[in-house]
Formats: sequence, C-alpha cells, structure tokens
Amino acid sequence: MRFNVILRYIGLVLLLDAVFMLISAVISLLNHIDTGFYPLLLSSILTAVLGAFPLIFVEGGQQINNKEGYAIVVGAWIVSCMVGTFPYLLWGGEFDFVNSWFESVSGYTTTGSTILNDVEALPRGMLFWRSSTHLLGGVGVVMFALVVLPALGRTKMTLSSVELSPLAKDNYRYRSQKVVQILLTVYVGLVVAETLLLKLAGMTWFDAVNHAFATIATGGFSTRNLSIAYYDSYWIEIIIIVFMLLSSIHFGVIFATLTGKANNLFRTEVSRFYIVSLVIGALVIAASLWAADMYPSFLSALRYSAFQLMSVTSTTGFATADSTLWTPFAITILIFFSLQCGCAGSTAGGIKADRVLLAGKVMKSRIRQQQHPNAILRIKLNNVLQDNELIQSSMIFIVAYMMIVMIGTVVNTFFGVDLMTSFSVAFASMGNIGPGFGEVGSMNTYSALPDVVKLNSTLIMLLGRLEIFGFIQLFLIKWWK
Amino acid sequence: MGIRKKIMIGFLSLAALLFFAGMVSLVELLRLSKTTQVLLDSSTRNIELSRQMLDAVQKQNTALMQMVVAGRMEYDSLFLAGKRKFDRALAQATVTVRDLSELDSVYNARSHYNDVIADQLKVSGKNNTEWLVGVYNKAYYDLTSAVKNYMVSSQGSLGTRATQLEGNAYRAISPSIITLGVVILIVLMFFFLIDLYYIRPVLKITKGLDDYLSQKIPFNVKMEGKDEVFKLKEQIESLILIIKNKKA
Repeated sequence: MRFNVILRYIGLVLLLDAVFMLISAVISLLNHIDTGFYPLLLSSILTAVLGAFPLIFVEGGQQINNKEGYAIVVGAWIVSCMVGTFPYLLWGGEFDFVNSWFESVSGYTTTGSTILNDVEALPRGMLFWRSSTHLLGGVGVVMFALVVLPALGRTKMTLSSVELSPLAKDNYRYRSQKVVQILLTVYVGLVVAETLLLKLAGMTWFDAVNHAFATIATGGFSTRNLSIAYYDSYWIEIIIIVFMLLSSIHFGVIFATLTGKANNLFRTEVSRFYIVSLVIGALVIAASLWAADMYPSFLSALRYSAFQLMSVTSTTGFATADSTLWTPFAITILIFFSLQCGCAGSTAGGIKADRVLLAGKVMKSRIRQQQHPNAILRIKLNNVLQDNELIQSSMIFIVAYMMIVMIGTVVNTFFGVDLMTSFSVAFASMGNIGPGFGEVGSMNTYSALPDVVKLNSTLIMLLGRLEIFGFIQLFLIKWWK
Repeated sequence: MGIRKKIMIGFLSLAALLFFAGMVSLVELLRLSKTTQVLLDSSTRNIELSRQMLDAVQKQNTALMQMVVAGRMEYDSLFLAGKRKFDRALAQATVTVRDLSELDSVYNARSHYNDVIADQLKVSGKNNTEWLVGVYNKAYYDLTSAVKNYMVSSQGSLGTRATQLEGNAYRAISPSIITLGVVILIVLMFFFLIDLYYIRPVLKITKGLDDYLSQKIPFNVKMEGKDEVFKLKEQIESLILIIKNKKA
C-alpha cells in the first residue's frame, strides 16, 4: 500500500471541497459579508493547503491497485467529513464538536438529518455549504476527483468499484470511463432541470439551487425550518416528488431512457418493481390515512402520503407532514420502504430495491427447489442470469445490514433513548434517509439525542454510504499489508 | 521541482496558514474589542445620564420643599436649574439611546411631574401638605422609579450582549485552534513525505555505497523521480564507472 499515492488522491478531493467552500464564502460576501464569510474563507484556505500539500511531493500519473482504490474512496470520504466540520466549528452557534461532525457526516453521506433547531438562523453562505456537502457526497467525492484528474487509465474502474454497488456495475453496460460520464451528465442535468422548475414554481433562486442539490443527492437538507411544508405548494411538491423518484433510479437507466435505448426505465425489471411498489405503497397509506379521518379527502391524503413515501424511499428526507402522527399501519409501510429504499446505481442508500427483488426471487426459487429437488433452477434479474457469488453477496449484505440496524438500536437504547427513536435513528442513518419516527420524526431534529448516540449514528451513516464492507475493510490491519 | 523549492513551499504554506489564522483571529478580536467598548460606553453613559437625572430631580425636590412648605420663593432659581439639568440629561439620553421605547416611561413620568408642580404653583399656599402627601409624592416616586428602571433596563440588555460577546470570543479563538490542528497534520505529512522522498533514498545511497566500498557489492540502488537525490545517485554511478574504467 503506497500511502503517498493515497494522500495525493485524497488531496485532490480536498481541493474540490475547498472550491465549494470558497463559492460559499463568495455567497456570504455578496450577502453583505455575513457571519459565515470568515469561517468559510478560512476553512477554504485550510482545506486547500491540506489538499495541495501532498501534490507538491507526490507526482501524478501513477497506477493504483484495488486496495489503494478502496483506501482512497473511504479515506476521502472520512477526511472530507472532517474538513467539512471546519465551517461549522468556526461559525459556532449550535455547532459544538459533536454537532459539527454530525452535520458534516450527514451532509456528505447524503443522510440529511440535522441537529439544527433553527435552520433559518444560519447565514446564506453556511446554508449553501451545507447543501454543497450533499452535492459532493451525492455524486461521490471520488467521482469528482476522477473527472478533474487527467489520464487516469485503469484508475477509474478501481475507484468506481467501491463507489457503486456490484449490482449497479452489473447493470452499466459501458466502459468505466463512460460510466463516470453518464453519472455526471445525468446528475448535473437533473440538478439544472430541477433548479429551473423549482424557480418557475415560485422558489427563490437560492432556495431552488439548495433544494435541487439536496433532492438529486437524495440528501434532505432544507433552507427552511419546516422543510418543503413551508412552501405549501402543489407544484413544488410534484416537482420534488418526480426528481426524488428519478434520483433514486439507476442513473444508467435514466440515461438509456433519455437516449432511447432499449434498456430503459419502463423495461427494466427493477425499475418496474420499484415504481409499482411505490404507487401501491402511496395508495395504501393514503387509504389508511383517509379511513382514519386524518385528512379531509382521499386526494389530500394521497398528496401527503405520496410525498412522504417518496421522500423516505428515495432516502431524501424532505417533509410536508409529520408522519409520526400517522396511523400505525402507515408507519409500518413507511418503515418497510425505509429499509428497502431506492435502486442500485442511484444516489439513494438502503438495502436497494434490486436486492429486495433478488431476495424475493431466491425465496421463490428455494420453494420450487423443495418441490423439484432435481431441477436446476437459475435466477434472472433484468433478464440477466445472476451468478451464485452475486446472489450470495447480496444475501450476506441484507443480513449484515439488518444486523447493523439491530446493533445500532441496542446501542441507542443503552444510552437511554426510547425503542422507537433508537430503531428509527439506526435504520434512518443506515439507509442515509434522515428523518425517522419517535423523537426524530419528519418535523423534528436530532439535537435532543445524547452525543454518544449522535456519534453512533455517524458511524452507521458511513457504513451505509460505503455499502458496509467497503468501510469495514479499511480497519482490518491484515488488509493493509 | 527541486528539493529546496519543495521544502520552501512546505514551510511557506505552514507560515501562510498561521498568518491567515492569526489575521482572522485578529479581526474577530478587534470586533470583540469594538463590541465590548460599545457595550461599556453605552452602559457608562446610561448610568451617568440616569445619575444626572436623579440628581436633578433631587435638586428640584429640595427647592420645591422650600418654596411650597416654607414659602421661600428665592429657591425658584435652584428649582429651574434642576429642571434644566434634567431636560438636558433626558435630551442627551434620547439622542444616544438604541431603543426609544426605553425612555417612554421617563417621558411620561416627567411630563406628569411637571404638570403636577405647575398646577400647584398656580395656587400656592392652599392645602400644601395634603398636596405633598397625596399628589406630589406619588409623581416624584413615579419619576425616580422611571429613571431607575431606565438605568436597570440598560443593564438588562447585558445578558443578550454577553451572549453575543461569548460568540465573538469563540470566533476569535476557534480559528487558531483549528489551524493549529491542521498545521500539526501538515507537519506529520511533511515529515512522512520528507522521510519517504529524501531521507530514505539518501540512506539507501549511503548503504549502497558502504556495501560497494566494504564488500564490493555492485552499487544498484533503485529510485523513482528526477530530483537532486536521483541526480546524486546517477553521479555516484558515473563516478563508480569512471573508477572501474581507470582500474581496468
């Protein structure tokens, strides 16, 4: 393992962080040098020097191996989370050390849970920085580094193999360089389109840009205390629902749909399963809320159920209603979707619809095998035969995922947090969703939780974002040799 | 880039970081100092003006007692001096106060106090004791209370101001602490990179030379890069070749 090469690549990612800090500082400057200006400017300089330092000594153009690729991705994520705390720590207010770390990790992992009780008290520059962490985290800190790095050759695939789940890679039928281009084209295209539509729907430019960053990254940081409920606008809600849906679908599939390829949104088995399950989920929740007289009409119930369901499933975490007050049935459905989440190859976290569908097929195959012991049964997904290694790794992932959620819940309850809140914090952090139920509902924040629970949540967020094993590998001493 | 340049950039980066963090801390400290000064000035001014107002009312009160109870009208000048002094202090307070509503009760009480005295002076000599106990004392008490409340209200805002000052102090200190942390990280990185790129290669060359001179093991040191250490290795290789050729 060549630490100097790892340092160089992490340095490049830090330079990108520094650029966004500088843009945020410029926003503060334009906003009559608000209180965020000096913290953002100093953070930008500190991060830039920290990032540029290895570049002075370590020459570029070196090939990296698989292990180094892993170390770069995980290292870049953790170091970015660390430098991301600088503006918060320097600004002060509600940000002590733990809160700054929580907000930064929540931003970069696109979780979107916050410790801020009064978001609107933050100066504009700081709000923009907060949203920028979503943007950077959403596309993958490493993906950014890949684009700015010239002539990387094999490096690209090594890095993207950590960033994308194995299922997602299987679905991309392009060269690795093309994968990066597709990802960025779709990502930037969606951000621009949503910004324009939100502006047309009545948001200010500033709010539109920030909410677009948060939606496409499936983050959830809002510039308003009441999140999307503040706007109380059908159009804004519809636009955000559509973009949350798009952001939680395989970016390659969206690209294929837009370019008229056969492997499009309506033909892919996983996308069909995902969209149909969402429609059924929204209708069932709306019926439950309407039957319980929580909303005056079915349409009104559908408006809120569709938004909250899409928000949770896409792992965005925006809110138009306090879902903690909903019926137990509606909450149970939401919890199921909170575990499943979006599709592989998107910015969404969670188990992923692909794995849930695959698990269903494995179960079906197992039942058939018992009926016909001599039959040779094969499992297909998107008409592609799935090899045993992929099936096994997917099943292990689901088991590991649930185990971490359970362990997280136990740890949280140990520190005096009630069961529903503990479970919510664990699955909402693991799936990078943000809001859950109990004390961390869609209209609440994480501020009241003990510091140790906040730190535990950040660890779970990182595990979830880096698909568990990518993160664990880094801490195995044997692996470094 | 040569060794000297790299090391110089390294040290300059550290110096620039410390300098910039120091400047930010300095700006925040200046802000803190300015806010503290404004706070102290305003507090001192309010206390002084309140003291002047209370002193003026006291003067008026003494003069009025002499005029109304003892009938000694020569105290009229003292009464007027007290009145002028109060009006002057009140006018000054009006100009400097941040929130005019803080002075509303003083204005009202003062106006009532003046009316009460003016009415009595018109009919001087009639029921003075009853007026003093029943009407005047209340007006006097209300006015002095209003002035004291004004003095206390200016002190009351100290809580909010103190929180602001705490925030300013935090912003003045935190850049230095965070920069120090970053500098420590850079120093560690600096040490690691210097060790990797310069110290270890020099030690390798020394060992290679030592092996060659003592045991005649061929000088075969592998190195990357094109800096001065690499050139040194190449020069040594050339030197060994020349010596070998001369011997042959």
